[in-house]
Amino acid sequence: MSDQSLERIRRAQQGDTSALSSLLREHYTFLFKYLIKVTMDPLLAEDLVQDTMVRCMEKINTYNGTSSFSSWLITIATRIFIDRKRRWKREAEWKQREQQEQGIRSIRWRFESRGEEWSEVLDSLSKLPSAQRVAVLLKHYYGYSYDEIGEILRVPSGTVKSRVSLGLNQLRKELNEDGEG
Amino acid sequence: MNELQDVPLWLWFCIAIALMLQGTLLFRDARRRGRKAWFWGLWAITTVPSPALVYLLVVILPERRRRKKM
Amino acid sequence: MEKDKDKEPELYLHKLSDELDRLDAQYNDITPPSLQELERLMVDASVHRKSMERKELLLFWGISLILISVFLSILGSAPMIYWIIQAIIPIAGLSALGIARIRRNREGAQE
Repeated sequence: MSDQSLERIRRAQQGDTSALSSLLREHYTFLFKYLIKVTMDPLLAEDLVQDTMVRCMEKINTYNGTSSFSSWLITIATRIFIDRKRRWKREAEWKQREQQEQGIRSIRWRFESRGEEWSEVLDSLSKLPSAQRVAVLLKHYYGYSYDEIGEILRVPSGTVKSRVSLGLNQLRKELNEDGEG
Repeated sequence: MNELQDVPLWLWFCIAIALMLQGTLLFRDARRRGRKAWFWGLWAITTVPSPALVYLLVVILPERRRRKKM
Repeated sequence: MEKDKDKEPELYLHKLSDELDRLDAQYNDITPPSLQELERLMVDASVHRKSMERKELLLFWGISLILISVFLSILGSAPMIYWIIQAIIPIAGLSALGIARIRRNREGAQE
C-alpha cells in the first residue's frame, strides 16, 4: 500500500470525510466488479456496493492494516451479501430464481449488445450455489489462501476447500457436458 | 434469605439505578463495537457486576491486545 | 494421457480467469459516483443510523424498566430462582453462539 493511501486512511479514521470519500471512490470500480462476479446481478451489485461503502464508513476505525484495504472491502462486501442471501432464503424460491435469471440476462445482454460472444463458463458459474461461487472466485481469481477465505467467510478453511472443489467439479461437469453434447 | 424482605425501598431504588446504568453503558458500548448489544445490555440490567466484568474480559481486553499487535 | 489429465485443471482455471477478465472488461466504462454523491450518501446513512439508534435505545430502556422490576421482585421474594436464572444466562449465550457457528458451517457445506 502506498504511503499516500495509508495517509488517506489515517485521515479518514480521524473523521476526515473527504479523505474517506476519495478513498472509497478510488475502490468503487474494483468493488463493483467483484460484486458483479459474486452476485451475477448488476442491480444487486450496485446496491451492495453502496451498502458496503456505508458499512465501511461506520467501521473505518476498526480497519487495522493487517490486510490490504481492498481485502477489507471484499470482506465487508461478502459478509453483507451472505447476510442478504440468508434473509432472502425466507422469501419464495421462485422469486429468488426469477431475480437471479434477470441478473444473468442483464449481464448476457451487455455482452451481446457489444458484439461479444456470451460465455458458457460464466453461465455455469452463475448456476453455482453462491457459497461455492464465492469460494471459487476468492481462491482462483483473487488468489486468496484457504485460510484467508475462511477468515473472510468465518468458516473453517476445510469448509472453504470443499466448497471450492465442489464448485470446480460442477463447473467442469457442465463444461464437459456442453463439449460432448 | 428472609432478610431480603427487610431491605429498605431506597436501596432497591439505588440497585435499580445501578443496573440501568450498567445496562445502558454495556448496550451502547457493545453497539459501538458491533457486538451483540441486546444480549449484553439485557444481561447487564439483571445483575451487577458480573456482566460488566465478563464484558471487560471477553470484549475489551481482546480488542486492546489486538490493537497493540498493530 | 496422464499428463493431459494433470494439465486439465490448470487449463480450465486459466479459461475461468480469462472469462472472468472478459466479464470485468464489460464493465470498464462504469464511472464511480462523484465525491459529493459519496459524501451525501454517507451523511444520509449517518443521520439515518443515529435516529435508528436513538429509537433502539429508547426501546431498550423501556424493556429494561420492565425487566428490572420483574427481576428485583424475584430477587426479593424468591432469591433462588433469581440465581438460577443468573447462571442460565451465560450458558444460553454461549450455546447460541455455538449453534450459530454450526449453522454457518452447514450452510455452505450442504450446497
